Amino acid sequence: MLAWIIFAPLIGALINGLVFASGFWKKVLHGDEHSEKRIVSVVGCGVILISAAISSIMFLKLRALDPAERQIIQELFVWIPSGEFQVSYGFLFDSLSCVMALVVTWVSFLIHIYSIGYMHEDHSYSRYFTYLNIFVFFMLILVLGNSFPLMFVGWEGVGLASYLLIGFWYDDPEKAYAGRKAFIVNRIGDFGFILGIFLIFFVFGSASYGEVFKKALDPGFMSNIPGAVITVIALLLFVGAVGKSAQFPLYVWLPDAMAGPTPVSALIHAATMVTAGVYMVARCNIFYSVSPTAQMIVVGIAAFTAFLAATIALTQNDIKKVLAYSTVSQLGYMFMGVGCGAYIAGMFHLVTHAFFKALLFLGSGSVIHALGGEQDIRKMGGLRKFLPVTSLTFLVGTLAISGIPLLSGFFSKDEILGSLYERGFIIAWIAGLITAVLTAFYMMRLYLLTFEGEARASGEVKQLIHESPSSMTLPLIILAVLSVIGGYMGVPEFMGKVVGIHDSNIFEKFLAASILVEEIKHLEHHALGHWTLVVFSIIAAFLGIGLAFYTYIIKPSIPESVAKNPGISSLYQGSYGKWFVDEIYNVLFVRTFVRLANIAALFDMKIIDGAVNGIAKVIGEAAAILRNAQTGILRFYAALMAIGATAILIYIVLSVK
Amino acid sequence: MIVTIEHYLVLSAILFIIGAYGVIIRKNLVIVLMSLELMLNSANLAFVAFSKALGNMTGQVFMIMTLTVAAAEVAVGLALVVAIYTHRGTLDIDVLKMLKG
Amino acid sequence: MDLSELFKSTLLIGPEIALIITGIIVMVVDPLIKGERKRNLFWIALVGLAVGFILNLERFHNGTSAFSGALSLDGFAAYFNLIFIIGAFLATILSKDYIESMNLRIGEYYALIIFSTSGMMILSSAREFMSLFLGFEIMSVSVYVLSGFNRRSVRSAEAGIKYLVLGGFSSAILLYGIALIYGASGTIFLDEIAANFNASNPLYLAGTALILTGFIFKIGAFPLHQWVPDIYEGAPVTVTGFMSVGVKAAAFAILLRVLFEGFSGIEANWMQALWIVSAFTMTIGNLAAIVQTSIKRMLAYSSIAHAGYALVGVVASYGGKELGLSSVMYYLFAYMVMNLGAFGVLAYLSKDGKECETFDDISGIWRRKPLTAIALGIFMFSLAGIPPTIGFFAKYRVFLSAVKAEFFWLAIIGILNSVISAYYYLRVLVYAYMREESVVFPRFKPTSVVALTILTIGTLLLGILPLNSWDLAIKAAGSFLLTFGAK
Repeated sequence: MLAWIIFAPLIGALINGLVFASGFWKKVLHGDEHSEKRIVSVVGCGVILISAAISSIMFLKLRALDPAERQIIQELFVWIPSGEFQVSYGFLFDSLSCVMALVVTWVSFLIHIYSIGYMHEDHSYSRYFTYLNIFVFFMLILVLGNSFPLMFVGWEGVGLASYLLIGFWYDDPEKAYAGRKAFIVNRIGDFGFILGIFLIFFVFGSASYGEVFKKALDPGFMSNIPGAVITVIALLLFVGAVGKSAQFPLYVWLPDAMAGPTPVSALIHAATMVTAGVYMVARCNIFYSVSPTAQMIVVGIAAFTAFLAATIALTQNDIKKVLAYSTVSQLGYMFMGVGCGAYIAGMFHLVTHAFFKALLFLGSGSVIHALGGEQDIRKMGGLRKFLPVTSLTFLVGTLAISGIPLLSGFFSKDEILGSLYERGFIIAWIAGLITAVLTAFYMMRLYLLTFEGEARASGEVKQLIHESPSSMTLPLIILAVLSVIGGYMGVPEFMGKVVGIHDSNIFEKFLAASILVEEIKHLEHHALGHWTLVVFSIIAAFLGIGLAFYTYIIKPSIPESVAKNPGISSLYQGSYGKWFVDEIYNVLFVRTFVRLANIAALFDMKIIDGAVNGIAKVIGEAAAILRNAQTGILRFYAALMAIGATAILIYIVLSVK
Repeated sequence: MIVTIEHYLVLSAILFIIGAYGVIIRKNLVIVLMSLELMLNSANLAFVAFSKALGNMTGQVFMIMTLTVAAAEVAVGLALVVAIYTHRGTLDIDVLKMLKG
Repeated sequence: MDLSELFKSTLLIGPEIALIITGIIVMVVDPLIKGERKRNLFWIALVGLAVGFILNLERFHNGTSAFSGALSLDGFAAYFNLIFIIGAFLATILSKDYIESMNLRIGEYYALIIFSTSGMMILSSAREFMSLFLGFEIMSVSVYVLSGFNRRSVRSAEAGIKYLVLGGFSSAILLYGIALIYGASGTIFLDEIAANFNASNPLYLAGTALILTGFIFKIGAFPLHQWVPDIYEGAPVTVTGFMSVGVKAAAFAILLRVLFEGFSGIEANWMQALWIVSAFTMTIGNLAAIVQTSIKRMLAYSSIAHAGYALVGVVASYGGKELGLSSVMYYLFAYMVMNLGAFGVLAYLSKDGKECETFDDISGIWRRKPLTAIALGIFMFSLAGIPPTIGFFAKYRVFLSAVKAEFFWLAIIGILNSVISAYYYLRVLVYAYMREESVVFPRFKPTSVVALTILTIGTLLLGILPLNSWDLAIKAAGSFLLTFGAK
């Protein structure tokens, strides 16, 4: 039964791909595009619903099992049946993959439904659903596979699907280029990842989770292995995660990947694929827990990424770009969580993030759809009265991601920040808090500029603005509800006690079976208690939102003055009267941030793109030399061959002597 | 002077190198084919010389077989030379550089 | 060796004989029939190859030797023969439509493919230098002719003559090496050479180096790779497909056999040499492939790179490791499936005497011929080593065997190279899927479609479900090690 979770989407892809995308059916239906689209959407969404339903049933089955034995394994067949390395195709359904499977299937389902409306007018409708189903298929292989090679198959597969979908509108060369960039940057990560897998195989003599982790937990076995080896494994795997989950310095592909259709951004580049790295680290928790060096590096990179991406998000004007950088930043949070050893907190944020970020992306899609493809927030504004459902759900998403108390983002983000503090990653904790302020600020800015204030769209566009069809708004509403209540499965116990519930953190208890190492839980030695930490988080959230309100609603002239008066002199010019506070704020906060954001943007463009281009140039030149050596003249080749033969002769004779 | 196996070997090595040199240096296709023949035959000389010195017949048998093979190769070579000549009207080997890069 | 043993040995080489007889039949019948009926030669060729295939299967069960040990008819040879025969079979099917669309002569073409296959088969089982050289030349001379087969094309003729001269050059080097080894050991049998091997005798060393050089040429590896792009580009595309998989695999078969069995005395030395050769071959092939403007030439460079990957497996077999050996064999099998497919698509898209060669020739096939585009995509992904295709699987095992044999750096260089290679394979897909069409594509060709379907399904299916193709490689590698009693 387990296998059907995975194969249902494949069947859908096959039907849609072979029957519809290839054009066979067109002849049968005499070009009746309407009914064709209807069948395609029923097949495309139906298979995902089947897989979602099966994963839910499996989830119930899993819950019924004894916590110690909470895993269901289905071996399909032996993949590599030869003596010393046996790898079998098999799927593992334990609490960790269960959580992932549920998120992937249900969020995918909602996004599939949404796509019906969003892609309604596209001519490549069936191709779109084919790719989407292929994506879900590979994503499920990734999370349900029971061995590293299988995870790698999924890992590459989602990369492929993502490549196809980013470049979906291939008529636009820039978009096709974005697809290629994503693919190639990911290959860099994959390089590390597969080296890591080889090393695991070399050290543990197996590549299936069961055996590798069993050996890794065995002190006798581990005493023979130098600690550095495990660190190297953990770091190589993390290189893969850095690529796939868009962490510094490989995050550059994600903002460009926004070239794809918006539901794709929501599904692949926010809710599921990019979180694969987080899942992988959580899966390999043993490796990371025994290696403080690896943890330090993961947390360091994650914290830096979170902060950097948040500063970039401050100044972006493209609605999807803001969300893209925000995703990078939130992924940084998740890695801070799993990196510091709080695997469950990281996974928890992954789940809530999947809800609210999918919601935000779909919301932005609804806006773009309504405005006929406009993505610039400077040309939006005042859309609340045109798009009531979208704006309300978007607001919910904004508040959730900002960490406003009692919404889902609050619980998960707070748990990560708390864990960082508890485990002594104080700098990362501070970075996380600052990022929280920034997050609240740029998200609120995004909301305000898009939906509040006066409408800045041109007259003709205004005429056409309409709320999206119900196939699009329904997923928005469901995701909004999830963004609100999704956090309650992981309410920390100290909060639960206050309202008299002692068994509050269901999420943690459910997931604990998959985390093979003990989580550290002690706070006695620290200066700040649980509640103090919570207060810090709450302050951060409200501070960000407050600043955004002040800047964009109460004093809408601030952003403009910041932009127009970048010189130091503005400090003095404005340092009188009631502008005084504004100017202080301007210099102390906004300008610093603007400058930081500019530096960050520059860094992004010059250093990273420069490095990529530099490598490309070196390769190009080397290739040109090789090409010139290939003169086409026969005698020249014979001479080269004679030299080669002589070289081999000399080498062999000398090496023996 | 007694002709020893070393003499034969040195001669065969010299012939081999002359042949290789010919392939590299000559521009006429027919001469290039002849140089190839020289290379193969220098190996044949070595075979026969070794066969004599070792006192077993394998080398001589090998030589005869190589001759046959070389004949086949040259036959194909000449056919291709004719094809090239009809296309290009020349046997200059350096003209053949449509395929490069 | 008396007459009865000769007779018995002749019976034992049934598969080779079947092919040779088929080749002769095709050649003899060709002038006797005229016009449209010549097409029936195609069926004769297929039947002959099928008979050879079936007879060859027997060797997996009962390994034996023939002609006083000159030919070792073991599972190792049988596995390689499988690659050659399947390759020849599918190349023949692909050739039928290609020959028609290019207006080539029919008869000799099939005969030459079959003769060359029989040469490869002799080569894969040779344990003695005379059969080795004979097989080597039967294979090579047939392929020289095939390369120059399109007489109307200057480029084809140029490829033919270039291949002949450079191939003859390498054969001469190989032959000279054989002469030196013979002189040093007094024998041409591999096992006896190994027994007499004396590393302090310069004749042995020079002989080993020259023979190695000859094989490196045929493999198309650095530093003797220069011929590959020119000849692959100029030859008719089906021939290129056939030789890129057949000749290469045959050269690998004999490389493994001669090095491991005959020259095991200085294994460490030629292993180091091959390490360097492999690293350079992968890198050079990939770098040069990036800047190509012709798909055919790009695939030629890619074939150099793939030779490099397979060499990683050869190096990893150091010390007679079953895993390394079987990974090379499996790699060549996988390469046969995917590369023949890639060239097959090019052959399929050739029409009216013009080959499909440049990127423009495949632009936008997705819109006109979606199934062909899907097949092309699968082959490209497989060549790039992206799962779940046979290419990924084969590469995974080659690199894994390198890691297991502790050649970490070689594995890293290999993986890095396959990362780079994704770039140019992907470029093909960008043109195929994301550009406007710029040429008119040929009509549906039913015969070729059969071969392409088999290859596509093979590439995908064996990637997901290797069945026992991998087991077979292990068994064949085991039988190889058994032949000469290595570890």
